[in-house]
Amino acid sequence: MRKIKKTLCILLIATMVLGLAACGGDTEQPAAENPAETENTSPNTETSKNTEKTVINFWHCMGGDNGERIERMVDRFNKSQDKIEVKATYQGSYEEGNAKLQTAIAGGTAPDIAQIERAFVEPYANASRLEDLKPYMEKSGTISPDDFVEGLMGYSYYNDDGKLVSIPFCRSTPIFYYNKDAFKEAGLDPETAPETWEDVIEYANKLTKVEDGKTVRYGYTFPVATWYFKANVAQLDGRTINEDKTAIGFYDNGVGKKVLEYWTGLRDSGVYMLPPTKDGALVARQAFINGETCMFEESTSIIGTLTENCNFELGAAFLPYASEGHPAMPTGGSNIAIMADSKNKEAAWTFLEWLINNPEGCLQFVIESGYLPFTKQMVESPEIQELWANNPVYRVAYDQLQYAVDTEQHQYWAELKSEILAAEQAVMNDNADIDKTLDNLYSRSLEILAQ
Amino acid sequence: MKKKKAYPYLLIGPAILFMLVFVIYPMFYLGYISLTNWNLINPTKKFVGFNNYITLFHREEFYKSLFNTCTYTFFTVISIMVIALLLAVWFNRNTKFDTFGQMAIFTPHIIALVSVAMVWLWLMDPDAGLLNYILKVFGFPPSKWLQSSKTSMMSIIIVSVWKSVGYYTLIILAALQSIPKDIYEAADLDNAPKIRQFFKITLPMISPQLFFLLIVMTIDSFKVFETVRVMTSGGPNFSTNVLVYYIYDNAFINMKLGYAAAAGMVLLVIIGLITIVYFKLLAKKVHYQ
Repeated sequence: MRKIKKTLCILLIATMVLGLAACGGDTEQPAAENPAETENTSPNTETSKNTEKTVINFWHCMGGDNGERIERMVDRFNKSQDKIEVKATYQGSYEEGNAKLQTAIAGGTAPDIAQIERAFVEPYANASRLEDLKPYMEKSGTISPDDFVEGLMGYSYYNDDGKLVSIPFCRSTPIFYYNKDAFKEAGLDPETAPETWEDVIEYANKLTKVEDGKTVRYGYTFPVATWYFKANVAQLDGRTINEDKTAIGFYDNGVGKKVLEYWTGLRDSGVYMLPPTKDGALVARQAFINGETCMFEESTSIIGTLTENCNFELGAAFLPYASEGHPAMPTGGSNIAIMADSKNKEAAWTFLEWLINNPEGCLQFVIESGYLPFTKQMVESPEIQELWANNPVYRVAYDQLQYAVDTEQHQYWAELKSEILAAEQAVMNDNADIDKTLDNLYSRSLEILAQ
Repeated sequence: MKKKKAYPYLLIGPAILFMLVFVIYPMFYLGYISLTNWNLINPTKKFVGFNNYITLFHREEFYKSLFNTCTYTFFTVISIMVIALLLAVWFNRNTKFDTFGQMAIFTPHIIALVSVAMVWLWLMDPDAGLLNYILKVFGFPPSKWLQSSKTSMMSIIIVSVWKSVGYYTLIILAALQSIPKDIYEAADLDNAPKIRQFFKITLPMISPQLFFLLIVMTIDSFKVFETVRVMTSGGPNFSTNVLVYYIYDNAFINMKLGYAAAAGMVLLVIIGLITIVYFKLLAKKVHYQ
């Protein structure tokens, strides 16, 4: 009996140890696979058989409808040729995707191509993790850096030697949407959108409906996020980060105070719906679709969603600006880059080139999603021109690009961003004193940017 | 003879190996990273000595996140302990209703936190939420719940307590049912009132389990992350920014892994200290059979 127990024990231990060994083996496999793939595609062995394809891993952060659009786009590429197989993988939101990309780089399992939220590009560029795309463009000759839409190139050139490390991909700007039917109902001209902050206040007051002391329809909303704050700051000639990159650029000049006073004024007058701190953009969007608010600011990337879901006539215009200022707004969205550690850069570039140049590539995605066309060729293409003729909202989004200003490029922008957001929340949600909040924010920005 | 000596080591070998690879090695590596300014994507790790710790202890928001974590832990642990104990005593009668009650109270534990958070986000909506509606019906002023720094932490605590109270109730219930019935019979013969029986028999008899739960719960609450990530992202105005969320934020969003590792080491030390203090102060009061 004891003997049996003993053998059983040893057997158990053996299986466990084997199990462990198998675990270790698993992690090594992908690394071993890669060289094999590159060998297969190198010209020497290519003669043997053409069935082995180069696999390109492409990590993206597009979920929902836009995720499916990306999948379809990659399918079109894979069917168009038989040498390269692109595998697109959804990695979650921009932040989650960024977290995974960092971990993958540290673990040596990074993809060949990655979609990176524009503000995260700089840290990767500083760590030399992104491939310079200029030589590839020169070699292929089908596209040059000057062909890209200028307003979208704020996150492309990095390092002292001006490497072109990423190109625009899913790019957007904040835009002003309004409900034309509600405008008519309130006796406003549906073809004239409010131009200045004063106009917005006047319109919002006319559009707000109160029944039995409860607001049933708000005039206006935008999420309490840094994006809209940056837009308003830029309209008054402030900067998000000052030119010396030492502190926030809306403190000394009083711009930040003006913007926050405008915001609290809107909130206190009861015409502005304050969206929740979590998923505020989604809530604001849903309220607009449901007709619970008549004017709102959000990304151009949801034009498609709004056109499909709003059962009223949708209007769009440039973001309203302070009457002593001028139209201006930041850009948003993400860029696409080839990772410097990729073993198949040539093949990765072939895919990128197809995305940029082929009408079946990004052009199709841009038309379906509402993201901005990012090359001059795309803008001039008959497809885009037709889209603009049929749906003028798309045209507004592109026209607004001439006022694009991006002033927050910095290695530690993400950290500063959460401080700015906290300051906005302190003022909007907790009714904190604006001067004190900005004093704090200013000293924090000095610390963060000095790192 | 020699063979026999090696045998126990052979038996614990696999477990030790797991510990070394997945617990001990990462712990030391964490300590090493906390002394560098690494950010995961830099090819080189620059050694910066104790700079990360110095910065950490000068940062106001680190203390704020530490304070938030302590507030959260204190109220969560106390509420769960009291509620779970009361529920367990109540359900300890084995009627049909009790079986149903046990099942019902346990359900939140098996639902994914993301779904739980979605439901609570709606319940706690300041305008359209059910909770404010109920408050209004009973004549109380509505609360802003997650939308204000004053009430956001309380809201997170409510959700956490609601989610895990059932699990702890079941553990305490199991402990209650293991108490020999003859002790109570003896007490009944002496006409001891029920309240006195509870404090003199029930509590001492289940004190080992309660002590274990106290440690587990404290450590668990100190590591709270998911609820905060799903419900508030640390906002508004950092009012729900807890230590682990602070670490995550610095490691992956702000891309300062070295700094985050230093905060992680501090968390490790704090949890270690709490456990030691518990053992020193409370272990003597625990009644082991």
